[in-house]
Amino acid sequence: MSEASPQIETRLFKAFWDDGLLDIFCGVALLAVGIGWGLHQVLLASVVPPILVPLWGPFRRKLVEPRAGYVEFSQARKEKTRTGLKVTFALCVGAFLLGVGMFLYLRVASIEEGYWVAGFIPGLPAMLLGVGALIAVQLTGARRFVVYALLMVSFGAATIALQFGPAMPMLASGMALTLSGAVLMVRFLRASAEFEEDA
Amino acid sequence: MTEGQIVPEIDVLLHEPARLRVLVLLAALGRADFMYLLRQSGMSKGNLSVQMTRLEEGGIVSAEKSLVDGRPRTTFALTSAGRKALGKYKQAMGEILAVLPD
Repeated sequence: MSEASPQIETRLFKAFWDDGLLDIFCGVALLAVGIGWGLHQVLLASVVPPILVPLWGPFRRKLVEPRAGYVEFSQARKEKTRTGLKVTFALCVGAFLLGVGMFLYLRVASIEEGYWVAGFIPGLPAMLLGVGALIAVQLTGARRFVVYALLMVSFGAATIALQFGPAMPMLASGMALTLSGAVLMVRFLRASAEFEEDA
Repeated sequence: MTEGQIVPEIDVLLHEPARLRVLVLLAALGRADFMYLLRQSGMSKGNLSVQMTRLEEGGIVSAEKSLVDGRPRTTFALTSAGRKALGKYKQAMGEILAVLPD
């Protein structure tokens, strides 16, 4: 029977992410990394995203589940999600390590050596995260992540063109995701009010 | 279907719009709690409660009670008998729909 209703299952899975919590978590992680890079506290910034990962479950259980309800998807869906999350996580780690590598390289490189590299490297982590956002589209079905991906790539390109530091695209992307997530969360909480009254 | 009966028999426990809506949700998913079914089905709390009780009594769905963060949670899933019944229902409806005019 589950094979007979893939469209319904896909729509239900897509709706699972519509509360905005994922967007807020991703946005806060990007903001933390951006602030860390901006303050030259790269290692400190690296602590925030791993802290956010185990917080996802408790936040969802406390904030979303009492209003949206609890659901377990099929085993096939769970495995697909797990694989996608691993790939996304690897990309995020890659983007972060690229940023750290760039930061360290620019500190030790001579002006001549670092000149041409310094021009385009600061925008690369955001572009790589844009690829991560596209994987998130495939993973969640949430098409707004296509917009996030485009924003990240645009911010990365603007960083290269305008010769900003690596913190700028992270801060801008983080701000966009956090704001978008907040709007979705407010909508979700408002829509949940009628069910809370009913319950 | 009894011998000599040409038109397939429809399971009336399943053939009811509100119950069918919940069953489609549970067939597409693994397991869900009352609030989730309430939101996704668009039914009222009272109606959903009545339909879930009927489906549970009919052996189509099973309820599992647990405590999560100190709060009770009741989740529902299709039973194996429920899956079989839905399979039969689908087959019967398929036969019926096939002869209806476009």
